[in-house]
Amino acid sequence: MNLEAIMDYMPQLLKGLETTLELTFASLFSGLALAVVFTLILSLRFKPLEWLVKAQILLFTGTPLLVQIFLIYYGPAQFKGLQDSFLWPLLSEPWFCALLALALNSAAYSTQLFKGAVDAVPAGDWEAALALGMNKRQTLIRIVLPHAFRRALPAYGNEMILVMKGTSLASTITLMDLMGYADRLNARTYDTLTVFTLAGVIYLTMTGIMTLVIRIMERRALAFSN
Amino acid sequence: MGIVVQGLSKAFGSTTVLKDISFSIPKGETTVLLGASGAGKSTLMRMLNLLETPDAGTMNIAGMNFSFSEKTDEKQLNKQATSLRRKVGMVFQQYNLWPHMTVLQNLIEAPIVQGTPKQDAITRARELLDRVGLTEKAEAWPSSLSGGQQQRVAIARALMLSPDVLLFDEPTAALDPAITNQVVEVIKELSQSGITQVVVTHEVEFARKIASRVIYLEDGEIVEDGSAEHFKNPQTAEFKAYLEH
Repeated sequence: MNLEAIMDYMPQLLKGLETTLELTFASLFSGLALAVVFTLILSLRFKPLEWLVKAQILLFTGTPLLVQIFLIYYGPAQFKGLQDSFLWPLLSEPWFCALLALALNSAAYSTQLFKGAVDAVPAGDWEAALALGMNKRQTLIRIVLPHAFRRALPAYGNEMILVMKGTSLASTITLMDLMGYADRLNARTYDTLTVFTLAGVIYLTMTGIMTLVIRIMERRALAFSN
Repeated sequence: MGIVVQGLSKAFGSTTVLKDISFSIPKGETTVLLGASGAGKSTLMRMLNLLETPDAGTMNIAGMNFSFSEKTDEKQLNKQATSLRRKVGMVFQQYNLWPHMTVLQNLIEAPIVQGTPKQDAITRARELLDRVGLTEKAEAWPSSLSGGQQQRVAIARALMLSPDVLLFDEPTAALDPAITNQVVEVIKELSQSGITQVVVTHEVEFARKIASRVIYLEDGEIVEDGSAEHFKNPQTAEFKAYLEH
């Protein structure tokens, strides 16, 4: 591992950084939106949908992310009907498949976090709102969810970092993210130690920055509890 | 427009909590529900804003009529309960302020949900905070307040909807005896304003200070019911014994 090699590899690896960041934030954003909807469905016990959400959680927390990415990318090609449908341009796109897998995976774990936090909100929060003439839906949306999300933020911060690291698996379906460029560079140079150490350092730096940002968000969101 | 209940009963499983309760409370009175723990007084009060549903009986409160039986339609009742609770406020033993909202946000939330313009709600909230002596605490988090202050915020929050009736569930049980007087002052001041108040407590001294009427319960039944005079001249041996214990 010498300085010259590092200076040579670094710019090539950083070419994948944009894809990694885009994929991370797009997945987190879609996953979060889904998780909020899923949490509402579970909390309000919308009967048929409740079972679907529970099945989704079981599938996506019960199988490896890599399996999910493979199934979503290679799976639809087996079905003639899907190949002819308007969805095909999206489903044949590795970027979109990786996004879909990561978002659904993150939604499943986040829903578990949020639902746990909703259940942990003291009964007094509910009772006070009902006693003030708010109905169940208003209470959930205006009082309980905001309280629960604040409480869930430290755990959700870990989920954000897991998703960021999880994007590296997208390189297995030909996506040229940070890990994709590292793979290519390794295949060309066989300088495995240097290449993957550098990739690791970049991931570590991103984790560090995200941790810092999450801590600041936590301090604001949980200011009430000090 | 006071409160009239007739024949209210409630059982949890095989345990009967309230048996055939009837009473009437004229408008503007401050009525204390006294009794040992387990007498059913909290359950009775929670029925007055339908946080508990009676199994049987009728209830007339804040201009609304309810009649309960096995056939009571739960969905229909829930809707009516929501509008009833806008006229019947409640203050809890543990204050139940929303901890992630400031004092001001706690006050304005319910009125805004119910359609009050935000500015009007804020103006009213500040008036009420003045009235309970917490002008300076509008932007504070509930957790930074003392118990007595939190309870006064909770009272102000209940008053935001200008209720006809205000219910207090053991409002001083979590407070220092010295702090209890802050709540006594607020309740006394409110009784001047013509609002009907019902207060559940097991503290006789506190009850004496605020009551204009008293209802004493034992084992889910009303034993004594009358004006505050009854504190001096109890009519039943049971109430006499309770006052002396």
